[in-house]
Amino acid sequence: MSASSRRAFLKGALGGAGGLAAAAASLTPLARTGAAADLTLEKLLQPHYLRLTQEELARVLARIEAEVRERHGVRAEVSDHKALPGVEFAFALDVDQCVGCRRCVHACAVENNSSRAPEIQYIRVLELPEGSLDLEEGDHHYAPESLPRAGRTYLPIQCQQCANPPCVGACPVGATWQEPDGVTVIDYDWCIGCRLCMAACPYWARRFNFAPPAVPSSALHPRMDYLTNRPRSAGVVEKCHFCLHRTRAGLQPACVEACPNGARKFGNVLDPDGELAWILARKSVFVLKPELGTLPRFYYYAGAERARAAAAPPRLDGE
Amino acid sequence: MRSARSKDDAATGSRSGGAAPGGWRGYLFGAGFLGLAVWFALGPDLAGLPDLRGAEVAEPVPLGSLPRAVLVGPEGATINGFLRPCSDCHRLFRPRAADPAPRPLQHEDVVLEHGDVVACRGCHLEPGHDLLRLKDGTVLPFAESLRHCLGCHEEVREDWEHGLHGRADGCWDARFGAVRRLACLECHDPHAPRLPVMDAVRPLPGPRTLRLGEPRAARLEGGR
Amino acid sequence: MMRDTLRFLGRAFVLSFAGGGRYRAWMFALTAAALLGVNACARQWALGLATTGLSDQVTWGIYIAGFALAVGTACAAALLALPLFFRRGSDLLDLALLGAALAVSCVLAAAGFVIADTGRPDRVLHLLVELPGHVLALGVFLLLILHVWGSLVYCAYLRRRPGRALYLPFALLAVLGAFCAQSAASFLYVGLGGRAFWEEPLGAPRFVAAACAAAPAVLLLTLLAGGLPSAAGAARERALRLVRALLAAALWADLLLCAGALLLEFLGRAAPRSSTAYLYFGLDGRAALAPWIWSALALKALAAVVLCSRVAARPRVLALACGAGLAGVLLEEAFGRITPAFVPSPLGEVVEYAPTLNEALVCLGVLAGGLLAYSILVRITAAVSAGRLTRDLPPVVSCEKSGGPS
Repeated sequence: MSASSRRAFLKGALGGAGGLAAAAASLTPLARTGAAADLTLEKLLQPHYLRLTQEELARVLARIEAEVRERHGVRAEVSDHKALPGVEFAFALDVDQCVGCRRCVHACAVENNSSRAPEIQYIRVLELPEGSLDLEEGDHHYAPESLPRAGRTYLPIQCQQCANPPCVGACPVGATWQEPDGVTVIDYDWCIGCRLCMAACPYWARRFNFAPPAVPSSALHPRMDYLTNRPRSAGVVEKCHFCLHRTRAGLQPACVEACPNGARKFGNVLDPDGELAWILARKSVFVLKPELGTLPRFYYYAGAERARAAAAPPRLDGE
Repeated sequence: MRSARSKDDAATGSRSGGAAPGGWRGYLFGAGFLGLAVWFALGPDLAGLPDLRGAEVAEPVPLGSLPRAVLVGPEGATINGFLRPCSDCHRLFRPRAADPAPRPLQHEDVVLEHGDVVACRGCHLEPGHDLLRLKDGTVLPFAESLRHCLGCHEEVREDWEHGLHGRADGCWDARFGAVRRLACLECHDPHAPRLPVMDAVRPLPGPRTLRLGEPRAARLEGGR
Repeated sequence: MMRDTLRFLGRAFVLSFAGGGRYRAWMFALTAAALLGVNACARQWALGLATTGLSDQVTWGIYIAGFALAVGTACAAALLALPLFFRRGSDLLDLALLGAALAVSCVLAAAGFVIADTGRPDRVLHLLVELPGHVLALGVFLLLILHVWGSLVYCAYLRRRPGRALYLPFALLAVLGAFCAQSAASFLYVGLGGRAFWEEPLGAPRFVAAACAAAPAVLLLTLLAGGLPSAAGAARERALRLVRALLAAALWADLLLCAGALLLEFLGRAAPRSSTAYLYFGLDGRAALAPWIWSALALKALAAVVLCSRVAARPRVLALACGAGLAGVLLEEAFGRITPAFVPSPLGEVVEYAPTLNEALVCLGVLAGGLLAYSILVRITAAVSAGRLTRDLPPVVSCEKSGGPS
């Protein structure tokens, strides 16, 4: 071997070794945070929720319980409530009763173990000029001393649980779908975090975990469902699910329970004697962005209409 | 493989006359990679994470803390710190007959702002005031104030009966458990029924999502 | 036969690492940039997408823009270059090979952008489970182009005339596939009804025009950088003229469509849509995107005018014009096609987006990776077609001036 070829080999070897070293060193951030250590083969190979067998589901639920216990020291009960037969959930909100106090927003965050930092909230309340429905005129950050302000309407917006949901069609991996009771849910363990559903949603109802969600262990709500309020990971999408872990057991959603003056009404739209049927039959109900054909199951109505009409009866006697 | 490479390099080196890869510069690339590796391992953090604090989340506000649930069926009225049945006094003293009294003398805490009901006897049965009197003359005890209210407020009656007007506690369907509709007096002061609860409500903290920037302050004001 | 193939692959592999000083410096720079990107990506995977400038309001940024442009450019390269094979006796076969190389490396870059954009890259395989058809189609498209390129290059290596049946049917299929993929990519966002910005009648043709400008711009820069030394003299001139004409035509089409869209938006409507108004002039006193879009339009207009003037005969001016056109396309795609649709949000919130340093590094890395693949393919193509890499000749690497576009 000549001296020049040895030099050339040395250079090549140095280049190769340096390149390999740089390639390996470039991955240090992963090692530093231990993000990769969280991945187990079991999690990587977990099938889609709808394809889980009974035993697999039980194993997954037990795994989540163990994770919660390990991370938060909380004994959580992770269950999987199935849709009730003959039930289609719907929501109605009386805009005349809503005063914009944001109790629903915060009750929802607590109930659903939503990340506090960075903030994730499923409900956004808009303050609009009275009678306006132009969302671009809305103020999201109103903070007056007392509510409601005169001349303003308050419009809480959350997932509208469309009967024709654009997000479901947009998802490339089928990680979000509509349940038999009409609620669109997400398999947080199947979502790849591409955010196509967020681009597709006309109601800005979906939130993304841009960083590992932070929920204080002391505030962790221990009654969880696989599809609803169990802890999420970074990099997946979540949204309002009508509190299925509560509602499929007969309870009201957390936002309804928190509303101080009963502006929120929740129920089975298929029940002819239910509140929802009454509202749809008697009130002038509207939905947001009806022109998009999404067919929301979240109805708004002005409940005080009849009261107003009664308070100021039309004068016919020329008085 | 290796021989091919060294041969290539040798050929290149000899032909290029030591200019680029031939001389010491040939080592630069390897050294550059090593430098890059060191920088990756020890260099500054370029993540540039934004403020991740987010917004405050208020702990759940128990509804009992709201100024309500005090007015269900009062047994009487508090005068000078003593709770007395109304008839204790009103057997003897009658309010002046034609008095449109928005502020009754002995009852400083009562403000009468109830539409066209401008006197006590609009609702209270005279004499005695221990009972309620409907428009059609039906007499009801305080405990049935709900019936009394709905006797006049026909426009609310249907809504309330169907669970629309006001809150309902419990389950969304009676087959799962109890459903309890709040009665009128759990929210309204019968003497001044415009919701007193709501006037005092302060909003809970507003949103602060990631990369929100400066919230657009009161755009509505700006437009006017 | 098998040994020949393996030997060819081995020599091509060596060739892609060895070369003259400038080539090595170019490859070193690309590798270093790609590693910077990998490092930034690792940081993003460790800390979450909070390392990007994205938010719940603006959920898509330059990753998706890069993905769309890469797919568009791949298709445009295949659509514009592969038909050259069908002309009998054309002396522009090398240009077609270059186009194929560009298409292949753009598909790789597109895959890189997709992986960079997902919040859970560990679950990217779910795409394969749920959309096997789409992933398969993309793979087949890639293989078709690779086959056409590889069979021609390998035949030249063997100094054998390739039978037309060996590559023409596949080239035809690839062109058809590119046409379909181009249409799909240009209408990718139109269906998302929640965003008025994408419901633009001229959106899809504008995207196609931009992609059809990007592909020839890269090819032209490659030719000017001497990436195709075989096509010397008259053939090189013809190749240059063809690519330049394609680029100029695409740029003019793009500018005209843009002018049409602006007229339609600001004169043809009672009021412009908020997102478009935000993009060009800002909303509520916020106008982060306006400087980008206007400089993109200015660069494109400059390039289009220069390309049609006589000064473009000078190679340096031509290269500058070409670079300006490419920069204009990149800027408009990065900031003018995806992000404005998210401002204001569907609930009327104006939250601005600007890529962070980490995000920019990831993009740089993906682009560098694509260019790395492209440079290697171009180098092999050039060596084979110049007769420097054949079965009969001993493996000698010349120290030609430069590899890919530098």
